[in-house]
Amino acid sequence: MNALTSPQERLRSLGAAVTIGTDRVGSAQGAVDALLTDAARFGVSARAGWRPPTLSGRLAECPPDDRPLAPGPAAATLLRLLADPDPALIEEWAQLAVRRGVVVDAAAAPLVLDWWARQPRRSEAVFAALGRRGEWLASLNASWHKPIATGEVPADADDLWQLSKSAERLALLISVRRREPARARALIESTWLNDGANDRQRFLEVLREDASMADEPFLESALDDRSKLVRRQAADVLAVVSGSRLRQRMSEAAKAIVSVRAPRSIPGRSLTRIVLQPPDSFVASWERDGLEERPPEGIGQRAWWMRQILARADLDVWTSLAGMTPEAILESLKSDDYFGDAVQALIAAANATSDARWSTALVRCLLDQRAIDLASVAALLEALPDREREVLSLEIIKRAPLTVVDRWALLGSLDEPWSALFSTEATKALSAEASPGVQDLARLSRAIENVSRRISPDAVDGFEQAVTRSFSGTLPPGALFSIERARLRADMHKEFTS
Amino acid sequence: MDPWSPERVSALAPDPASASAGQALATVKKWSALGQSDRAIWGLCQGSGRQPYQARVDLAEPAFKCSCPSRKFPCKHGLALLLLFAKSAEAFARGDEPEWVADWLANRVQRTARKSEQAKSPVDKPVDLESQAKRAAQREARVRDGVAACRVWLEDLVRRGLAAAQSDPAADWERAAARLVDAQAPGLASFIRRIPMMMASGPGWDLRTVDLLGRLHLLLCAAERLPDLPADLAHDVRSALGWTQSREEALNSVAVADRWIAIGQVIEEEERFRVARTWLVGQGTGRRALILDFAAGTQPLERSIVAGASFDGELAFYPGRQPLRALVKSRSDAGAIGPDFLQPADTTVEAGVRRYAEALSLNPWTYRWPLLLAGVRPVLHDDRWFLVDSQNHGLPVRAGFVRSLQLWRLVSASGGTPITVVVEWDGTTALPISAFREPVREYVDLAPRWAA
Repeated sequence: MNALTSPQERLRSLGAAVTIGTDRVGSAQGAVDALLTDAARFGVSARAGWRPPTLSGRLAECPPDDRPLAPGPAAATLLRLLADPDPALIEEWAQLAVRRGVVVDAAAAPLVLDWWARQPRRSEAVFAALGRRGEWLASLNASWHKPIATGEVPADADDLWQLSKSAERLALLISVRRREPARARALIESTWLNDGANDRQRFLEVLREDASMADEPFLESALDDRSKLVRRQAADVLAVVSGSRLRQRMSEAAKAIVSVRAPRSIPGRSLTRIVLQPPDSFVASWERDGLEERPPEGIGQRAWWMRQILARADLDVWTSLAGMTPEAILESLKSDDYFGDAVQALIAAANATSDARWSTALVRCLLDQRAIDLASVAALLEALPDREREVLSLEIIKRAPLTVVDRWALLGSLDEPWSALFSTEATKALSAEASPGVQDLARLSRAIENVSRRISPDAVDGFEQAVTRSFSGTLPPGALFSIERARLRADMHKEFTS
Repeated sequence: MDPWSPERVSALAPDPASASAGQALATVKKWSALGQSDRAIWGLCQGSGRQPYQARVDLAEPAFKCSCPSRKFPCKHGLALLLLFAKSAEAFARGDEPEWVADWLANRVQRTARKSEQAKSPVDKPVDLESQAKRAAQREARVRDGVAACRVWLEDLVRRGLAAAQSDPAADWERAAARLVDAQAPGLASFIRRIPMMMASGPGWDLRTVDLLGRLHLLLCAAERLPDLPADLAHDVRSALGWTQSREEALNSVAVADRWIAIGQVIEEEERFRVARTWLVGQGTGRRALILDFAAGTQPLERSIVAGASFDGELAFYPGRQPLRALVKSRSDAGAIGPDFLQPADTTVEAGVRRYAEALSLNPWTYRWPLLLAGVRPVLHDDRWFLVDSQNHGLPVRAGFVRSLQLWRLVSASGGTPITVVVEWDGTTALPISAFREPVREYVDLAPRWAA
């Protein structure tokens, strides 16, 4: 044997021999023992004689970050959240960290980044809370280097748009739309002729967010699309673009419906009355603007056409007509046969344009009618500035003829942020009423869960009280989890301030 | 450092779920009758049962006891109690220990006394020498049979060839291993169980497998001549065969007093039990030591040594040519590790592997050896990760570690700059198990966990 052969090389040839087996090579007596003895000798000497290779490479160093680390208790909470991830809570943690100007500890950063990269909706705050280390780590690990990673439009957005699958294109479009609305529209147009109807419809739906007159010509042209699905979607988007030709057409049509009856002179005051005159026939061109000719069951044909027109018309049509406030207009309509239809249409119109004045008036009108349609109210409240929304919501929760479940559901549907005062008052109102017994427990639990995610940390005790009052007997697990969640959030807020 | 920071308490949890559950319970609202004395804390926690659970913690070790039915140890109540104490000690009224606390503590004191009595005078104990000798002889005979059977099996394997054996069903390997467990040679059984794993370990598997077969062959040769071997070497052979090593023998050896730093801890699930490997380094002597704790089935693992901390005390080493496994003979207060804890570190990769080679020359069955590498950087070279020292010498990192998120925790903690890393070195690849981050020597647990 060659004395210069290294133990590793000897082991390698022994490995080859033992793979085949000594029987196959017709070895002599004692061959097995000799092979094993060599293996023992060279094995030990290979391991004992191992010498490290000389490597010149190095990693790029992580750029320094002056931001301090998140406080210890907050860091511990983050690890706990990652063990049983609740995306909303992790995002809230990250938002607190970003607001406080602190970052995730280096040893925890990969756990956060790995979780984050696997999320369908990757929160910017979570990535930002990792500080510069997050960017550095993402640059080292391809699976964390997500194209939409930082929320910025990727440099190769155009290529990605051309090459990706539907779901990824949609995600890309949403993120581009948020940053560069015009570019998103350009992307859609670049493949418009080749994309299927389902894709085209979904892409147009994305444009609904912050749709403006810049999108209008393209959308108007889509009203003549070969697919009905796409035409409908384009009409839906145009209906929320103030100044669009579609809205102008609908406003014109509305003017034929809404009229003012000359003030009847009663001594001391003049009463202007608003009269509704639904269309007598369906105009063919309305179909192009997204109107349905056939009414759903339970609605008269003419009322149905009227509703659809008024929902797409400018609210100015009403106010400019008689110089009346929304409240006065609604008051005046009360005696009209089509009052219910008008309110539905006005709710849709107020939602489409996020008109705060009309929204307030409509909510108050519904309250007075004691006819609270939760979905409509929630949508109307959304249009209001924070303070007004809270005032009005409180009024509903306290006064409206709603069941406990509905009250919770309404509260749970309200957008953030919630002030501490509002949270306290709302939960106080909810604990005023004891559980009526049998109710839709699943819906109640769901609503309570939503509230637990939004309630101000200062109102946690009131929240717990309200939850306890809303169930007769022992709390179901869902409600217990919600209380835990609210407490955890409150603790989390405290952990960042200590 | 406060000895009971929430982080340290959480480190005592048997698993992340328990840590999390403990955290959730660690609020004053969940507890009643919270109390503390100089040596213990206690409290009542309302659980799902009618009676609240009685949780108590002996602060000296710490030791836990709770009346809940959980099999986890410590249970979430015990953890929560200690966490709460770490966060807000003022919530615990100072006062007399209630009976259920005092009794337990008294029991513990008695047990400890009995243990140290045994520790002090193992030889004074009346022993039935005759029946002991008989049992030993019986065992030796069975192991001899096991060794002979293993020899036949090994030679057969080499004759048939690994390529042919690759298609053997898993049950065949397991049967061969089980026979050796029955023959009271579990060390041989685990050799056999490792062979199919090595054969499936990717490129270079043949080299690693033949090395493993060589080691097994060497062990069998030694076992066949066990009566002729010098005492120390015989100890090593017995231990490699998997004989239970007697505590008395360790306690009879000269104890080594030092400030011991727990540089890393790995918990492994074995066939029917769990093992905790805790690596220690003596600050003054530079001695490396290994503490093994076992727990059968779902029994709790007693882990009184907190990784990343240190304690003053005496270790008693089990005999052997290169004593490594030890037990804690006595200890005083635990504490944070000092700034000079790197004094006994391996300053370069070469120095570290040289220490391993010395250990190997004394005990060729040395399987894992701890390297305390001061100042190494993680480096990616040709798609493989290395730990590279100041002389640009690299230690290859084990593939399993590279696939886990622990690699990225290490990379992230280093930020691309040198960091102190503890690895288990087996002569071929390194398994990082912990790191210490400056400026405060903060412990980063890198033991197998968090699969990617």
